[in-house]
This record gives sequence, structure tokens and C-alpha cells, in this order.
Amino acid sequence: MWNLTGKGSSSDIFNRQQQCHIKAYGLVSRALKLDEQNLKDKSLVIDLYSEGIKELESGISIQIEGIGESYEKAKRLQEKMRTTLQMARDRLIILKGVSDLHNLPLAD
Amino acid sequence: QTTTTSVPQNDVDFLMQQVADEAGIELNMELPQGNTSTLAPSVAVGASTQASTEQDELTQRLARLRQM
Repeated sequence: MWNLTGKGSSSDIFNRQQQCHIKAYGLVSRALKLDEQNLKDKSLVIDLYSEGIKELESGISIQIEGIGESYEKAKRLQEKMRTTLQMARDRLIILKGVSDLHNLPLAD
Repeated sequence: QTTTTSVPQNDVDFLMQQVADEAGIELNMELPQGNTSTLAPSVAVGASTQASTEQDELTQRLARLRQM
């Protein structure tokens, strides 16, 4: 887990953001691939989204304060990660709701 | 300030997808899978551009699931 104070050299900050993006992208991509297949068992999909959300939260928590193209791009990436995070959270709420319904004794 | 700045990107993506679906157009693009795991600081700008594209892909796919 990253040091969330966001202190570090500029290349360190960009690398940390990249690592969070790469992990989050891998996890959410896998979640989406399964989610798009509309499997009955949602537990793995829920786990993958949850882990991806944690990585997105880590990435967004990195403070990006500076001037220049690298910083501007990093800030834009952060905004995009924020959008992905919000949508992944929304999706997780829906999936958990569906999952809870299936777990009810009378749902079958 | 125009009203468009207050429309969330999610909703824009959602509407674009809806229009594309009605017109029978495939919006989903296959994006190149880059190798960013061996990232050097000097390529930070290029990597964050690709990362932005990949984040867009995720939000588009999430928006599509929301329609189902």
C-alpha cells in the first residue's frame, strides 16, 4: 500500500499513480469480463470490483501538485480514475443487491 | 459558463451509447494493450495518456452494464 501523504519526487508520484492505475485496470477489466457474461454467481465479480475500487482509491489519494504537461496529464488521469471509481461503486451496489436477493431462502 | 460543463461525463457516455445502440453502431473500441509495467519516469506522459484511454474503456463498459 502506498504512503497516502503523497510526498515524493515527481517521477515517484507519477509511477505510484501508474501502478495504481495498472492494478485497478487489471482488476476492473477482469470484473467487467465476468460481469458482462451475466453469471449467476456474482461473488468473484464482487471481489474483483472491490479490489479494483481499493486501487482506484489509492490512486486518487495521491496528491498531484505541480506545473507542466506531466502534472496536467496526471491530474486528468486522476479525474478519470475518479469517474471509474464512482461507476464501479454504483455497479457494486447493484450487484450486492442482486446477490443478497439470490441468498434469500425464498428467492429460489 | 455553459450548461454542458455541468453534465457528468458518465451521463454523456451513457447517452452516446444509447444513441449508438439505436443507430446500430458499435461504439466499443478494442484498445491496444500496452506494456506499462516496465515504466520509466521519462515516459510518464505517454503512459498517463494510455492510462486515461484505459480508464475511459472501463467507464464505457460500466455505463453499458448499467443499461442492461
